[in-house]
Amino acid sequence: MSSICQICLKNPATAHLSEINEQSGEMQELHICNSCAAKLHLDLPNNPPSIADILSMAQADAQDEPEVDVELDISFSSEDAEEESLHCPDCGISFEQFSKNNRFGCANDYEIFKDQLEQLFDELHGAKQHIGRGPNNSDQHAQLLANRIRLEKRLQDVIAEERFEEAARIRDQLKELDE
Amino acid sequence: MSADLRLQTLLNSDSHCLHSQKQGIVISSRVRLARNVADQPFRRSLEREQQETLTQSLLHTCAKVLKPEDHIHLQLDAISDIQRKALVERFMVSPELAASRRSEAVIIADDEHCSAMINEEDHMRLQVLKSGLDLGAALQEAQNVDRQLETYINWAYSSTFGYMTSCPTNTGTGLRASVMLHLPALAETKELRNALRAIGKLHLAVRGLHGEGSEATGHFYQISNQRTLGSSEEDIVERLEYVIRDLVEYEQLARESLLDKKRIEFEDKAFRAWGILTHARRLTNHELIEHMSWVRLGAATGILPIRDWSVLDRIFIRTQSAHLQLQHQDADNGNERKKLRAELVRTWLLGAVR
Repeated sequence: MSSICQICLKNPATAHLSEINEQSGEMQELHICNSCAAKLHLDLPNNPPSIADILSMAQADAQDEPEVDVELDISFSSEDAEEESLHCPDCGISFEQFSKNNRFGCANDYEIFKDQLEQLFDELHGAKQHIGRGPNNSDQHAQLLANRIRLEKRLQDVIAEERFEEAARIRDQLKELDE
Repeated sequence: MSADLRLQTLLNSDSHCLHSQKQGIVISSRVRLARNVADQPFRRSLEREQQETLTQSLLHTCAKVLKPEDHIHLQLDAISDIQRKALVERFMVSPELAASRRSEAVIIADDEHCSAMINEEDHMRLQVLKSGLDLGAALQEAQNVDRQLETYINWAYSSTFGYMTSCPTNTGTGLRASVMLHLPALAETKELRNALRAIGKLHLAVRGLHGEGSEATGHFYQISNQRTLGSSEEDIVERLEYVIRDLVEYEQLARESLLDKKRIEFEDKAFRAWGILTHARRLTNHELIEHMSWVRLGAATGILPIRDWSVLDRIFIRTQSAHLQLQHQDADNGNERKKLRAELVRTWLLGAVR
């Protein structure tokens, strides 16, 4: 049961189909998760469509909604989804609770929900990586490196904003830093 | 002097950090850093007793940096509701913290330029407030205090996410920089909407006087950074200041254009507002702020004969409801307050005429 859903490539699969291709005689398998099955309106226990049909339905669905809304997938709830949802062992909150209130329960949530947070931080901040100071930032090399990343990013920004004088100034600073 | 007496003195005085500059366009600059103690659940997951213990321990530690000699240390459950509200009116405490009924605390420098809220949404929110446009200095000072605190406290930090905060909108630097502006002429020339829309595209937020959800009465706005992750503290502040400088310039141009093209309408509005504020016998706070907006604009452009700007800043803070209630015992009902407010405004404004 450790296989991953072949449709969304994200959730653990909860249903496993296998069939033999009538023409080639080859065995074909499909692993799918609850939320993809529900999204495609599949009635797997009673009336499973052929694997080829499911794949073409999934393709059509993906074209209808080019941007997959992760939050929507996550808020989908069934007993299985509930069981599989991420929980922080320290403070006990689940990813669903976090999504609903938009508040973390403790710092460990950042580690536990790490994979899910990337997209959220990208939406909120347009970034996934902290640039800026940290506690005990005494390591000189790390400081310089952080400075360099900061200036490079700043350079892109000011060029995008067509502030060329500023850009020239930042280029000079970068040159200085390299020396 | 006891903490309570010091609080009373503070609440009975003009704000040290709200001296409007640039013809009253820029009121103040503020920087706040959100921090949480490592290995402690965030505020929302804290049990009542845990929170009590944490508040005490943070107060104890902070006393080493924000020294009791020149900082008032206050447990919020030890002061009255009206005192809490007055602290909100002075921008020392958030409305959320003032409304809470658990053990929270605040540390306020005697001159209000620096304060720390303990166990608001994050374990600590450190704030530095400066008159006029001075974000760089505010940031430097906040970071200086934070560095000193870091020698005693281990903040929740990761090299990927930076400072880890209760809300993902503060993650990274934990920095919210904001500037309070008065933009009446831009509002009058209908250019404001476009300007504010452009600001939204730069990932800056525009809010009313008292932060999230508050109304922009009298064309007072707070503009702040929305993004806290992926830029350094200095860049966030620099970018915001850059936009603010532009806005100040636009407002100045709009004022010139008003004087140039619509002088009579402009004078009429300023003098009417002046007339109401110097003659009314009852004033609501909303009414006051709306008219004050024109009076400030009139004073800045030399139309109204106001010699002493500090009076305008004083009225701004000290005629709000909780401040009135603290000064006068019979101001506990709305009608009395309206009467008292009108009296104070009249006296102060007429005293400021040259």
